[in-house]
Amino acid sequence: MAACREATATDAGAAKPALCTSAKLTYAPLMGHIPEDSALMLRYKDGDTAAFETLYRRHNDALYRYLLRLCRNSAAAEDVFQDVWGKIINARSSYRPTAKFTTFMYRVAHNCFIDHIRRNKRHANSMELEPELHADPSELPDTIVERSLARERLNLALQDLPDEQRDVFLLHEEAGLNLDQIASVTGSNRETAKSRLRYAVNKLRAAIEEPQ
Amino acid sequence: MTNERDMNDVDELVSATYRELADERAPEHLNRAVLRLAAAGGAKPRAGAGWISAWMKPVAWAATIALSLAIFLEFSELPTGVSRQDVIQPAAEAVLQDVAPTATPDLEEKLKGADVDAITTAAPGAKLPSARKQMLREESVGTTEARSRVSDDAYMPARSNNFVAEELASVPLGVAAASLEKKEADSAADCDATARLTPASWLACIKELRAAGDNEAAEREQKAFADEFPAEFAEFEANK
Repeated sequence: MAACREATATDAGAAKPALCTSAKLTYAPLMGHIPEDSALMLRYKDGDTAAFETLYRRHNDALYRYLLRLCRNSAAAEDVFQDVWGKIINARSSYRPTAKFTTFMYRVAHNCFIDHIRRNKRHANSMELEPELHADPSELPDTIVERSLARERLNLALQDLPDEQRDVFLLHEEAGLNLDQIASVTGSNRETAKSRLRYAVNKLRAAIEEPQ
Repeated sequence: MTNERDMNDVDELVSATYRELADERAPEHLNRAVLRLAAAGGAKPRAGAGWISAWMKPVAWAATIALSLAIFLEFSELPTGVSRQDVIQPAAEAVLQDVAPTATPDLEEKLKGADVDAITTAAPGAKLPSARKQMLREESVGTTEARSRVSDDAYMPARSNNFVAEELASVPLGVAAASLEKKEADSAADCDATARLTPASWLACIKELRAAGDNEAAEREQKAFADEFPAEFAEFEANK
């Protein structure tokens, strides 16, 4: 599907039929109108505050969730979140669109999180996120109950993951980065990133399927 | 293609379950804070403001340091209780009062150009103390060191106020104060340095003092003369 998406984006102007025709019709107009993140950042560099707001609204929730799951503490996540955007704002004058903006942004976020860990060694014990499920299972249909229990188990398993594995999983899920980009953000090589992701997914799947 | 295969490694069930779980949104107060920060920092700087602020800071620092250093040096030079000006100004005035009237252009020419031996032969029987001979030699040679010596100012020609003040300013405070005391002591003598140059002129000066009725001063000068030229004093007493 992703390959199809890339192909349609490249051949958006061509009229020849392709295997992904429906996808082409869906994505081509969007790609034509939505400015690239890097372009928005460059416009912000030139003083266009509205461009920054567009960029911010595009990524704020995913970045917040990434930091929330990484820090496992909403207050710490908010601090790091503001720190990340503050750094991005301050770096606007030296910003060069050499890499994808999300790679740049999550690298900043990753580094801010590392700094946060170094500043606060007790972060591992400050687990604050509450399990999501509060409904009475007897009042809900079986499938909904099962899904809720699966989410709760996933949440707990995610909190139990080592920092590196959780980081890689969140970068993949929240930021949508591929292995090369994850490796770039975390400062590791591609194979390490791949291994961490696989370990994380296996643990999470085991937690979802086997109730404790 | 490799990434594509890797992406498939991520379990669809895990991904879907996570999507259901992760529905948090960034709090609105955070959004407002970040956007406010972006608006404050996003304003394009005025043209030219960059390079002005670039050199204003170093200049401001340099000026502050230089001013502090100047003030520190100014205060560190002053001894407690006595200002430099308090010592220099009276000393300069005393020297000017003492030297200017006595050092005539004729005397200056005589002291500068004449040889010491010529002076002594010009006044037969006159004897000069060895220290004074040395001073005159230095004067006739014209060495700068001898000219700038404050204690020799009686042998120096009259100079401008500025020159004397500059010379005194270059002398340490202790020396200047000592010089001032010497000037005050010398001013008490009634026969000036020119008169004391030879026994004959000194005796003539003493006679003038007596003639003027200033016996006390004459006695004082006579005592000084006896100390300086005992043989001439004995001859003078014998001829009296």
